[in-house]
Amino acid sequence: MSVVAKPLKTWVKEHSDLNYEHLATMALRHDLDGALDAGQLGLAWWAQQQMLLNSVVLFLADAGITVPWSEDRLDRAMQAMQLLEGLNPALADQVWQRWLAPIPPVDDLVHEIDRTMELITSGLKVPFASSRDETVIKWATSTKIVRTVAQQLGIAQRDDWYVSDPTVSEPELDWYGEVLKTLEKSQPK
Amino acid sequence: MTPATQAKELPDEIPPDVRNEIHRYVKTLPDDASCIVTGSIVEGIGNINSDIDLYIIQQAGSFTPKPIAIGIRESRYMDLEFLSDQTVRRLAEKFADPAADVLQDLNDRDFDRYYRIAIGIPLVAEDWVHDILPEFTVDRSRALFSRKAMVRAYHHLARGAVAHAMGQTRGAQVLLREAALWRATSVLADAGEGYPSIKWAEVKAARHFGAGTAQYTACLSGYLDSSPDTTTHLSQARERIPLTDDVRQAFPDQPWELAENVQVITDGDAQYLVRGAQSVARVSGVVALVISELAAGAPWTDATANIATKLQVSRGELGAAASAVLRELGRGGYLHRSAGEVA
Repeated sequence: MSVVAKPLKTWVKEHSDLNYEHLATMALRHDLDGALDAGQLGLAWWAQQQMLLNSVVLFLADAGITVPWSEDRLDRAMQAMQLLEGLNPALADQVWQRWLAPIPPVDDLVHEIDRTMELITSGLKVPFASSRDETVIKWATSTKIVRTVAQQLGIAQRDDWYVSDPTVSEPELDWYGEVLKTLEKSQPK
Repeated sequence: MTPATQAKELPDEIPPDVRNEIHRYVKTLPDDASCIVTGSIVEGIGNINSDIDLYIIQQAGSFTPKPIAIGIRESRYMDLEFLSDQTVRRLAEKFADPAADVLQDLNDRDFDRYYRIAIGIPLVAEDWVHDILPEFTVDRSRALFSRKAMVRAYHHLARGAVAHAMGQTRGAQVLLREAALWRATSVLADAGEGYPSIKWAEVKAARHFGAGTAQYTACLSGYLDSSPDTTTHLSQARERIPLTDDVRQAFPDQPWELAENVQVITDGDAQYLVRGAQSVARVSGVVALVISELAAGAPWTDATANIATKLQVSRGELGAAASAVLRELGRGGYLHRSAGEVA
C-alpha cells in the first residue's frame, strides 16, 4: 500500500475533469435507459458506445493516466485507446471489438448492450455505470468532493448551480441530501 | 425594463411531469428573466429519461454569469443554460450573415444553441426576446447545418482514408463509420430533420423515412451496414461523400513551409520540430511524413503529391486529414504559409 499525495490545485484540476466524465456517464445512462424504453435503437447504441469510451478514460485515470483534452470527442477516444493499448493490450482488444461491433438487429440489441456493460463494469472496472441511479450517486458524490476540496483552496463557490426540487427539499437538506432523497423517492415501493 | 410576460402555454405533447417541473421552476425566476423550453422533448424525439432543457436569458450585467445548472428528478434531470442578451443577439447576427464563409465561423455550440432557440417555446419572455425570436429559423439552421455536416463527413472520410493507408485499420473503421453518421445527418437536415446532433441520426431517419425502409437504409448506409473490409468501406464512403465547395473552403490547399529557425530531427516514425532555443513539438503519422518531405527541401505541392501517391489517397484527403495539426504547428510558429503557387 502506498500514499500518493498531490498538490491541492493539481488534485482539483484532475478531479474536476473526472467529475465531468461522471456527469457525461450519468447523461449517457439516461440516454441509454430512455432509448431502450422507447425502442430508439440508434440512440441506445450510440449511448452504450460512448459509455464504453468514457469508461476507458475513467479506467486510465484510475491507473494515473490522463487522456489529453480534445474538443473532438472521437479524437479523444482514439487517444484514450492508444493509451489503453500501451497499458493493457488484451483489454484494449476487447474494447475495440465492442466499439467496432456493428449496430445489431433490434431483437439482439439488449443482449449486445449487456455485453458492453459487462466489459464496462468488470473489465474497465466502472461498476457504477450499471444503473442510472448509481451514475447519479457517483456524479453527486464526485461533485461534493471536488467542491469541498476547492473550498479549501478558497475557490469561490456558487450555491445556485443546483436546481432544487420543492417537492423534495427540506430546510435541513443540502443539495446532496436532496439528490439522495430524490433517488429514494424514485425506488419502486 | 419590461417585465417578463407569460407568452405561451406548453403543448400537451410535452409530458405532464415535465410541464409540472418547468412551471414550478419558472415561478422561481427573477422578473427580468426569460425562459425558453427546448431540447429533444420539444423536438418530439425525447423519451421518458430525456433531460428537461431550458434556456434562461437575462440582460448582461443584471446577473452574475453562470454557465449551467442541474437538478436531479425522479426519471430525468433538469439542464439549464444561462445566456445573456448579448450572446443571443450575437448568435442571431452570425447566422444572418450571408457571407459564403459563414460556416467557418459557426461551431457546434452555435448550431446547437441556434436550433434549440429556433424550436424553443418562450414560456416566459421579455418583449425583446419575442422580437428577436423570428430571427431564429429552423430553415436557416437546417440549410447551414446540412453543409457543415457534409464538411464534417468529408473530414472524417479523409482521416479514415489516411488511417487505412497507414495500416491503422481499426481507427480507419471508426472514422469511416463516423463519416457515414455525419453524412446521414447532412442528408436528414436537407430532408427537414435538422436537430443538430449526430447521436439522434438513426432516430431522425426512422421518424422521417420509417425504420427499415429503403430510404432509411440509404440514408444510414455506411453506418448500419459498414463493411468489415476497410478497403470496400472506404471506396463506398468516397462514392457517397462529395468534395463540395464548402469542403474546399474548409480545407484550403494553401502551402505551408517550415519556419526558418526550425530544425527537424527524426526518431523512427516521429519527427521532432525544434524551434530555435524556444520549444520542441513532436509529430507522428501523416504529418510526420509531410514534415519529412518539407525538411528534405520539397515544396508544398511536391511534398503533398508524393505522399498522396505513396498512400493512394487524394491530395484533398491528405490536406483535410492533416489540416488540424498543420494549423496548430502554424500557430506554434513551426510552420508558416509560403507564398508559392499551388499547382
